[in-house]
Amino acid sequence: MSLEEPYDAQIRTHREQIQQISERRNADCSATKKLSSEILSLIFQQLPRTGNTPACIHVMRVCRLWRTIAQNEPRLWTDLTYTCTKWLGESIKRSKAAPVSIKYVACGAVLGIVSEPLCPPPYFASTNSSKPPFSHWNATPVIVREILEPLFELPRKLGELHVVGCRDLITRLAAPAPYLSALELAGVDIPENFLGGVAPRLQSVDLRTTRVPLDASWLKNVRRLALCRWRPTGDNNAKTILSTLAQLTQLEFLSMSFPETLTAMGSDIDKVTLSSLKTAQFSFSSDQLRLVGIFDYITCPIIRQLSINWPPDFSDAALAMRVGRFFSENCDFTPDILARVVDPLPQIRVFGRERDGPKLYFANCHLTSLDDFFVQTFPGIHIRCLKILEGGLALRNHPIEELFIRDPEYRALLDEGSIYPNLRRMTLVNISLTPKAQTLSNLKRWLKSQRKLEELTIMGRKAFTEKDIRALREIVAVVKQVPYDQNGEPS
Amino acid sequence: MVLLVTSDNEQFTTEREIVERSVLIKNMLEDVGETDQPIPLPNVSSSVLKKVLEYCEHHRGEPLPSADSDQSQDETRKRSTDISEWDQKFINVDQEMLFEIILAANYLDIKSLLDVGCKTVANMIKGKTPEEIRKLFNIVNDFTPEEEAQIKKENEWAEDR
Repeated sequence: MSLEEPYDAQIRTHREQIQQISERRNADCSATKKLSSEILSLIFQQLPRTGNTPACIHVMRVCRLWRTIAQNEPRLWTDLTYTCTKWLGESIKRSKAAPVSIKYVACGAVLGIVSEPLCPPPYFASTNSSKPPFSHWNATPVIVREILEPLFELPRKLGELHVVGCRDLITRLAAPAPYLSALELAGVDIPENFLGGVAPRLQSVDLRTTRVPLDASWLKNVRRLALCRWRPTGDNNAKTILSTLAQLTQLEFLSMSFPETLTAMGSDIDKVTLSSLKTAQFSFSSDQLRLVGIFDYITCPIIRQLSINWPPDFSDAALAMRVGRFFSENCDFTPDILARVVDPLPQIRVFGRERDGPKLYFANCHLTSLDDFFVQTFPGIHIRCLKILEGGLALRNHPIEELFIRDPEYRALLDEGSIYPNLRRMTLVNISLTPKAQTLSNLKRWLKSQRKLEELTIMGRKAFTEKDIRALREIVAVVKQVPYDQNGEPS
Repeated sequence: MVLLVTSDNEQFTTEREIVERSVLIKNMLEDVGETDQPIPLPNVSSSVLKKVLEYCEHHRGEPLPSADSDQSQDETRKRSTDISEWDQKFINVDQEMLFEIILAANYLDIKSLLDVGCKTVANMIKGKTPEEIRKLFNIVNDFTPEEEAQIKKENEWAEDR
């Protein structure tokens, strides 16, 4: 025996004792001691991922108990959207039988894993864009494909599948996918025997630049369907599209651009009811405007939101009215707010004060007279609030009671000298006063001409001094300055 | 009305619609039918039940999660640590009370409240280093040297693609 050995043995023993005491201390004294492993596991499942590693990585390094819980909870290992190959392999192993989520891109010769949605956000996505349908993705070595590839042989393991390209992988998905809840495909035709026709939990489907068998049985339980730059297998006409959509009895959200080759309605179309549809958005290209007639053949008894992405520079009031009337006939639509915004496209939004109330959004709509549009489309409806955040003035001299307006539209308002006879409240959003003397004097003159104005809110940029505010209070009883809110809403 | 009795023997009378947000109590009431008998809650103290009932009252009338929506809700839960403004204010309590609310929500089977509690703890953990998390929850490092070595190896994985 060497001289050191007994000492080393003692050190080992003490270390083991310290480790055991530490473990007992955690069990008896830690703040989380009362929380069961089940609850700690639920908490870990809420952790968002940061960086290129699994979300639970930090909690695995806290203590033995937390590490054991994290390692043994398959649901913590189902997110396969990072590119670290060692963690990818570990995650697949630790996920055991739990369905996994894959976001995988093959763009030319480059492969990648995407950590953000592949498709653009739901409202007024730039559906005609030629850009690839993803913005943030990480190029990865080919080894990533080797790790993920076996999962395409096991549709039972798939919980979410978001794939761009990879035709060879998609064609392998021929067996039922009992746990698949979300599917997003782009740039690949869907094969005949896709998923063996069985995906009972599939609720969300986004398909782009894809040939779609709309009558496929794996689509039958879908609640959210987005179709963009697509074409149907079989008959490419409005009648077939409508009748197959009507078969999707649980469909709550529909976002659709029409296939490029579909330019006419056709004849002998039966009226269909989309019984569960709450939110719909349709995009029309300039040679598809005749397809607006599709609204004559649809009933949506519980629709709450309709968004139309018109072609650029659209100004056909008759077509806009046709859609507006369809919407107001299908829901209890009594809007009192009109907003003009530019995000991401110039839009007209019409809605009520109720948060979950019906909403009608038109993008790219440049009607020459919004006043006529409203009077003729929604007779009897009175717009009380106007929000001009961008996109030019509207409802000149209208009996609105509330006005939100931003630079530069407010300058046009001062120059025009429009009078709103019932205006009581006004909010100036993020405006400047340059050149100050002239702009301030124009503003004062304009405010004086609004006889019923009671309250002025200045939101955002602090262009006004205390002295200016005092001067404005001589014209309007209540003048407030509040912080800027991104949505132009008072905070 | 339903009479609840807490672990510290305090009695709470509350409306059936409010208290039925707890699946445990809902099932109990369905099993026993109409009754004046108090329902004992031996795992919940009065201070915690008061908070739980405040939550149930605020969310009364909202749809309860159904059994077949569990999976998709799991997915949603997994992705978001967002908590509504009212819930954030409601759950802004000291750490001990937060854990007691989570335990009570789990025992009473109130999924949405359990969710709010777990999300709140996840938000407390989010962005912190393991050492900061230990400090926050009074935990000491009890890893064996072998586990420490494994953790060190895992740290290197992210750089080594």
